[in-house]
Amino acid sequence: MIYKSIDNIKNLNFPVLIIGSGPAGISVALKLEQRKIKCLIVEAGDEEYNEESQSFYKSKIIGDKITDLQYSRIRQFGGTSNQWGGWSKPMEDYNLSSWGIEDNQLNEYKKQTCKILGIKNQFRKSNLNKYFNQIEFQYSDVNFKDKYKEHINKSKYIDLVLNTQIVNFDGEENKTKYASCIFNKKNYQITSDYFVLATGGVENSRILLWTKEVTNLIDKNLPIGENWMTHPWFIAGHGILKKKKLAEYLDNEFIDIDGPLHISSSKNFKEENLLSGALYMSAQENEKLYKELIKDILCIAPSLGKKLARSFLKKDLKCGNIFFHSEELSSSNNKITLDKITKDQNKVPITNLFYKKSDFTLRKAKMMLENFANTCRKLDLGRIAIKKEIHDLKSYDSLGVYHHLGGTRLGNNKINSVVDINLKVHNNKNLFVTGSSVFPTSGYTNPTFTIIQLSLRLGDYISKKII
Amino acid sequence: MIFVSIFKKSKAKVSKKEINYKNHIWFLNENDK
Repeated sequence: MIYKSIDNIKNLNFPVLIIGSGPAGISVALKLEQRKIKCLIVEAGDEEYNEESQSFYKSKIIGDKITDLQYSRIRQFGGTSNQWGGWSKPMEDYNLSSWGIEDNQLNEYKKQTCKILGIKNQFRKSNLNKYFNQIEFQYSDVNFKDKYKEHINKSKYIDLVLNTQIVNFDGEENKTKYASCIFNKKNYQITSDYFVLATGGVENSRILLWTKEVTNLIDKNLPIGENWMTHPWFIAGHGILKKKKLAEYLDNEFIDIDGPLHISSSKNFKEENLLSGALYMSAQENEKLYKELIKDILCIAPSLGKKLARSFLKKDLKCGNIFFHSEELSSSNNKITLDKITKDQNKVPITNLFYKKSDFTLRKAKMMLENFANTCRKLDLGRIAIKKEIHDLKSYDSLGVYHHLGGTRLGNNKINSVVDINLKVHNNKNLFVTGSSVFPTSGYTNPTFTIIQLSLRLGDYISKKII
Repeated sequence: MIFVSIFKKSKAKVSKKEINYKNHIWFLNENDK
């Protein structure tokens, strides 16, 4: 059942309370429903997008300019799935290995994650050389609100209330008893046995920081908000690749010769350089850019240019911008705090995000790009050009920061993590956090697939506690 | 790195393998002409 007003819910007590109706929150609810356990999802936004609700996300960014946090996430039923790009892929095992979660624990939820996202369970990989693989993404067009609205309306186990902002949790003796919330300027308390915070890579930290400030429920020493990360995403250059030659080189295991091209760093690259990353060339063939690049090659190497122009006529070239998506190491300087002066309309301090781009990321991006460019020319798979500002290690122009990671990291040690590997807040008996905020490392992969896997696993974990 | 100008008009700069052209560094083979 979906409620527009919390006043319509007779008994504000549920076995499980989930905060946030994005991919993370809904995935936990779906798993609980499968185990016949009732839950209430509390969503701060409305069914439809509106600027007034969105303005609660006003924040300050201190440091390098990145996408405004008021618009890089959505305060609405379905959360940020209302505007996401849909790129989906499980995280690389070599990126997960430091998390302390065994590979098969997330693999168990791969099939169901694909079902939720409405994508094929197929993520092929072709080895290019010691440092690179061609990889496959699936593209989801699922908007969680559209897909699950009717399902939730009819569900015996899932209730959802809109327009209700959870402000903080409270309880005693390390046990969470209730969540304080505000609907229409009125205060309410919702009690539960288990609480799941699933409000995204900024709000998860904000709500826990405010809980830490106004109650004694949470260990004051937990590093909430710290080690925030994103995926640097920028145009790194452009290039011309020979499709047939690349396919032959990959023993014809080339994935979708006319589709988008994704090349990721391998485990070896990660082990030697600490970071992973991926290159992307669009499937959309922009003829103007093709011609421009071939003209460039004709200017700098006319004989090669003529050969490439002939290949272009045979439609054997993949030609265009090269996008780069990078892992970013966590840094104690990048963090979320609460503003000491400005508050939102419900009197909760707004978020301050401290963020500085990393020189290390830029150096590693250059290294990976150079390595790939050298591989292409040596094997005559094509020719790559790297932007001069990246080659000179000056900077990169971000295409936008939409992946909010870390802040409530998982780990065994409460000095540098907020939740344990079961996503339970350290020193708390029944408060859990899920979403990209628990990622201790970012990997290069878009986060939603992993968020859903983690959330399904959490749903199972809580179910086992209840049944 | 030694740069040799091959196309004055386009202001391209050539090294053995890397060419700076329109704010991009092209990674070419030595025998790319």
